[in-house]
Amino acid sequence: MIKLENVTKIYKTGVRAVNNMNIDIGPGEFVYVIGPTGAGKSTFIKLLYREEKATSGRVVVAGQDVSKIKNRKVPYFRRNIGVVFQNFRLLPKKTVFENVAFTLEVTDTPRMEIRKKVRRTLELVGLEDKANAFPHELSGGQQQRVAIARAIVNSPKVLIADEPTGNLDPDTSTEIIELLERINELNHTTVLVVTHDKEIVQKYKKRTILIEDGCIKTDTSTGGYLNGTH
Amino acid sequence: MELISCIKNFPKHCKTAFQNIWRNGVMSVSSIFAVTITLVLIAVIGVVAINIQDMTYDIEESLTIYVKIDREVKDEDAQKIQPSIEEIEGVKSVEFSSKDNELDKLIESQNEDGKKLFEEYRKNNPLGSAFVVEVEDTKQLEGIAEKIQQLDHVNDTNYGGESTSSLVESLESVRNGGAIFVAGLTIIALFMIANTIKITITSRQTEISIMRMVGASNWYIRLPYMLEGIFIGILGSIVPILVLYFGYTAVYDSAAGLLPSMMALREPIPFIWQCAGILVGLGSGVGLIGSFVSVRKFLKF
Repeated sequence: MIKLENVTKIYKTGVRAVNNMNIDIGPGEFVYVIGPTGAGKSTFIKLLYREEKATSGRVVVAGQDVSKIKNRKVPYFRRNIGVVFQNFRLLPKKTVFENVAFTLEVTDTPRMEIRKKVRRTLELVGLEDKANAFPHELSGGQQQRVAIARAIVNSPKVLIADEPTGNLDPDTSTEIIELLERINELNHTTVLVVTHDKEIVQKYKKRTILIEDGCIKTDTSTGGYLNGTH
Repeated sequence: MELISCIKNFPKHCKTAFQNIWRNGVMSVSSIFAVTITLVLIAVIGVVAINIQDMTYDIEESLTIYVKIDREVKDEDAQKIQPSIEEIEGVKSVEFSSKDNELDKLIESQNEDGKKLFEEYRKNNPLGSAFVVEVEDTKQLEGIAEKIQQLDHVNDTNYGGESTSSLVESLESVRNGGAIFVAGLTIIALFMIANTIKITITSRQTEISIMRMVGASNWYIRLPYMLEGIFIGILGSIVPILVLYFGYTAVYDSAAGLLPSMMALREPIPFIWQCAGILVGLGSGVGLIGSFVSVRKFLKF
């Protein structure tokens, strides 16, 4: 589902953020990506949803060679990927329902179907009673659920979560991670979670990729932060 | 495919645009206000400039060359000169005025005593006949007058001399100055509108990046913003049009009795509607272009 072959990313400033990275993530996998700040985690996932272009090497996501996609076609490619951010990034002037529906509206989905899918997704994340609220009326955890709902409502093949629990307290974090796991199990979506949170990685033993200095330091399928080099 | 989707979603985009204006409250109001202020400015100064321009043209048009024919030339012979004046390049029209006509005009211009005095000359008219020559371009007055002077039987030509020439020059500079002023003001105003809209949209940069994130095509993102710009422009031009409508009609009515006919203002209808059209066009056009340019900056991948 996600495949990187000898990928290097050098920014215009000369910073080598990703250095000759190779990785292979299959369909339906649940993967944690960890590593210190500035290790290249963010660049790695930006390469996946084509926010950045690789300087060299091949990035394949959902069967498409990402570096070959034309600028104009990027929006269509992104419909295959759901992205969740640390700071939620909801449209502040739209209600919860409208925020989630927006993903479907841009793909010209019929209105009836939009309503059905949004309602079902809001149920999945447990926010069916908040459909008409605006984002600022919700708690952080609730906002993140809306963001997850928006990311998965069009059933993407890949769900990327960049520090999804970074702004949340431990209890809420657990809820969010459990929600992501449920999505992974129910929809067989490939889920990629970038995190700093050691406890989470320890608690939910999944495949864990440790990135350091733009390279993959360890890749453990057994899971756990301390099982690797530490 | 993208185009079809845009057309199909047009009503939805319109709705989104209105929703954005409504939900962005203060920002929209400030944009509309900026458009209103600048358009009022453009309207007032533009209308004044156009009317001054009209007046200068009217004044120029009333400038003619008065050609006196020798006294001993009879009316019938004098009329034969007309074609040779008409032949001169730059002459717009030539009007013949017979000896009697000239005397009538002279008597007309006198006071009571004078009238009695000049009535005496009816029987033995000492005046020559004359031509009133209109020219196409008032700058040529002097040259044409000289050429007419050289024709046979022409006694004298009069176009007001130096003072007329300098009047023409100053009218010209008033016109040019006015045009430059209005053009400059319009450009500044348009920049102001575009800038306000740019600020409104820049404040929504995250919104655009989110739209891109969930896979909205560039046109899908752009269209509501462009429509929003147009609507803001149209909403902003309502007050200027009202100001123009009531203000100009009032000024026109009160000026009608005061100004000499040469300096009459333009008829309010259809002048006001033409100006209103220009204002709406300016407002919505600048709104459209302003938002198009501002959004484009955030759509680069």
